[in-house]
Amino acid sequence: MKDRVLNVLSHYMSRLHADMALRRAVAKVGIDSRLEDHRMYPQLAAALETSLRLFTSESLIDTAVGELREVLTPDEPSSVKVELRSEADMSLARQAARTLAEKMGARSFETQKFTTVVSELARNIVQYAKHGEIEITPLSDGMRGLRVRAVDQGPGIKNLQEILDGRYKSKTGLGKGIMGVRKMMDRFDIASDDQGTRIEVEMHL
Amino acid sequence: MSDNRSTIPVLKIWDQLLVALQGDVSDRQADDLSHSVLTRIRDADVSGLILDVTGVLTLDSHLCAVLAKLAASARLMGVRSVLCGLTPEVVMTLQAMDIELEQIETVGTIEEALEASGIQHTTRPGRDYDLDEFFGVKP
Ligand SMILES: Nc1ncnc2c1ncn2[C@@H]1O[C@H](COP(=O)(O)OP(=O)(O)O)[C@@H](O)[C@H]1O
Ligand SMILES: [Mg+2]
Repeated sequence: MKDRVLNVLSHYMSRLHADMALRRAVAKVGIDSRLEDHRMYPQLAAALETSLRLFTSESLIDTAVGELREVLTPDEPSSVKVELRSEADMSLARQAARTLAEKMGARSFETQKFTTVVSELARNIVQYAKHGEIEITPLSDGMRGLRVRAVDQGPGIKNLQEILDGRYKSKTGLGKGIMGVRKMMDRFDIASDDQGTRIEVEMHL
Repeated sequence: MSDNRSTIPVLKIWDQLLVALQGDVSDRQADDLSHSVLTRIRDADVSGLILDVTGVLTLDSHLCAVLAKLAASARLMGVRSVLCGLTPEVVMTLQAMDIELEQIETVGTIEEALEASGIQHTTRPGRDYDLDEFFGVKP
């Protein structure tokens, strides 16, 4: 995104000026330097417009501003689904979680929490159910946040009650995954039987 | 972002092994790391292990378990481990999950980790003459 913005700017000013203009605009509106937070795009476009006006002739300014606005249209973060079969898929799930959280404007602690939650859920699927999927969706119903659905058709969680009561001692790990997820998220639902496991959580921003 | 298939380098500085974990650490990388660190400890004169997690993107319960186990194994081989570079985000996340890394000694920075291993920073002695005076700038 940064390159695309610089590209537009450098049609109307030198690369050096474009660099400086972007840097000042980024500082002014307080967006992250990688321009991940789409919700800030309108403010960023407005801040850059000021610089464009300094460098662009009257006749070109409308085109210039139009191009800039087009590049900086916030695309609605859409949901991501990751199939889990192997360890490499766990990395994909974490990456998807991080990218989506950043796009939603989560703060760095929230992004860290969220990515860790997805990592725990993805690991449990690969480790205990062998195969399943995770879907991450931005909340829509007036609430800003993210939802994770982790679904598998594995053997189910045998000691679920024990785990939720905090009495479970894991032989295969630290045994903090499910409880950790529950503690960190704002909503936590779990259903598990011998047909599989379904966990749904939400983080509100 | 670092490639999560590549091998994590293990550096040796005097008798210290230094490992800087970076980016998204896969299970495979973490397992390979444990193996290569323990092999280096067996084959070389090592008295300390420094694990720097500053650049790690996600420190989940599994990676914590791997690091704690690595430290415990190193200890059995007579090597003391120090973990450094836990970012505030990671610390808060571990606390929220109720994960304690108490089995492994933790310090803030690599410098502190080196100091904890008995390596000290000394500043180079300053010039013993005054340049300004030499060039006659100063009366
Ligand atoms: N998707 C799943 N399918 C079947 N069993 C599961 C699943 N997720 C978790 N479990 C069971 O629940 C236990 C607790 O999981 P967790 O809290 O993540 O701790 P850990 O994975 O460290 O053991 C696991 O030890 C495992 O037996
Ligand atoms: Mg687990």
